[in-house]
Amino acid sequence: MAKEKEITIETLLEAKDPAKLLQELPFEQSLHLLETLVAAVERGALPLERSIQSYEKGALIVEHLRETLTKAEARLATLKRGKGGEIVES
Amino acid sequence: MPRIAQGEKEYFSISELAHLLNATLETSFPRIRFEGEISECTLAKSGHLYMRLKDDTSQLEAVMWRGNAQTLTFKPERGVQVLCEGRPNLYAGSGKLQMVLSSMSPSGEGALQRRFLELKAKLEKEGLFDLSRKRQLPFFPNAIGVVTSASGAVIHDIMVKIKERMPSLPVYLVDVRVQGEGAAHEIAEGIKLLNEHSKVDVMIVGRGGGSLEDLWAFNEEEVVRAIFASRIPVISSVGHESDVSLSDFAADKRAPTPTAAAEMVVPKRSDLVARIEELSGRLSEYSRWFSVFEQHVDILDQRLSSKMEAIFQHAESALKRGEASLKALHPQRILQLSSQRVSALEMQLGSALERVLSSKKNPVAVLAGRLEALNPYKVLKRGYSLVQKDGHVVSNALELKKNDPLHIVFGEGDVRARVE
Repeated sequence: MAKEKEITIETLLEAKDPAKLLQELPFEQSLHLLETLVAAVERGALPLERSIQSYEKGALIVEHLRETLTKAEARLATLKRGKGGEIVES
Repeated sequence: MPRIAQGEKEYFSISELAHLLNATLETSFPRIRFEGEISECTLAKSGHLYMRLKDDTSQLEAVMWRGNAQTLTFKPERGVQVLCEGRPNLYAGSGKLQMVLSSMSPSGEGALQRRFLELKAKLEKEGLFDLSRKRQLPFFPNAIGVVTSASGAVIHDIMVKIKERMPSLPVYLVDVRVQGEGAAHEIAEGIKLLNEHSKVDVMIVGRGGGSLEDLWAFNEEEVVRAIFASRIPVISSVGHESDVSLSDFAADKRAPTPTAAAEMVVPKRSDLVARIEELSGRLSEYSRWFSVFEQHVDILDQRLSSKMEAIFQHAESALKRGEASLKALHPQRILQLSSQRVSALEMQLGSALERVLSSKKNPVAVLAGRLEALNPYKVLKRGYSLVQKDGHVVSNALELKKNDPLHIVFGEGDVRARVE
């Protein structure tokens, strides 16, 4: 199961490597984060500094999500237990 | 009573004998349950069912009257092992002994159904079916696992659905036997394998339609326990919609068909794309940004106009002073000089005023117009700079003291500076 992390807008804005952070987040969480962020920007709730950063990070999330959705073809892999007990993928 | 007496011995007629035998049977032999194999079976036009039932060494005739025969839920045929309940009857007309059946069911199924109920009760008691332990399915899984036969309908239907909704979603299949000896073990091992492999967020376990016997592997304790122990949520899709298996009870979700199972876990790419584009659009709507910058423009504008106001007043009072000091000098000469100077000052004042008026309007109007554009950085390119102290934006000069270190961001580049 994917790890459950508590990610807020603050976490994303302060992250040293936001792109890496997004890669590790489940799709659902990224989407939710984007929605929260856009809502905050729209409300005008953020001070100038945060607004600028939020715009940048928001664009980053949009790119990441778009990329996830446009990945290539259907992949079916078969798994079985190998002779030594290891898992073999084909 | 015997009809014929021959000396002291009494002789019954055949009918009487038959009748007596029958009466004895009926009283001493109430309903009895027995099992046998159908060796012959005929459905008469009357609707009565005539059969021969046998085991390895014996056979008996049996009949099921139309009323009961019509309620049978299976087709009686030669070779079928059956569980029966009935009473013996000696039919006087033919002298045949036959069992008159009140009920009959295939022996295999009956036994299996009993086992099903026993197992269900046992496992339910252990808490394996508890609703509280059921997990939520992931909204957008990173990958899906499937435990089923590689040649069956389940994997086929799932792949069709995935290609339709989200082709990029990876699927990991563990190919197992879904019926027969050893199938239950393979299925349980398959579930454990996916848990160990750990790349899928959800799995579908199941097989296509069949009889209770065909589906039996999914009622086995080993499979039910493997589903319960799985860290990864399990959707069961066993048989047709009307089939119920113990795997269904243990799973986190039960699907009536493999297609339905796929629909539960694969979101529509089109829906997600639409949602993302909507958010992206909203993010780009800078009318909200405008209000933020409007504020800052207003501040700048005020500062600008108060500066201009000051210049104007300064010019005006300079003019007045000039006028006053002129009057103090020699009338003729002074008048000459003064009128020159007055005109000069007038002109200066005029252009100063002009400047004030036009520059007062200009930045605000231009900014207002330009700012309906976009990116905050475009404002900077207009010549404004972002002044920061200690990482915070400064919008009030009164915040600053002499020697405060500042970070100033321009449309292009930035500098560090100190307040004078």
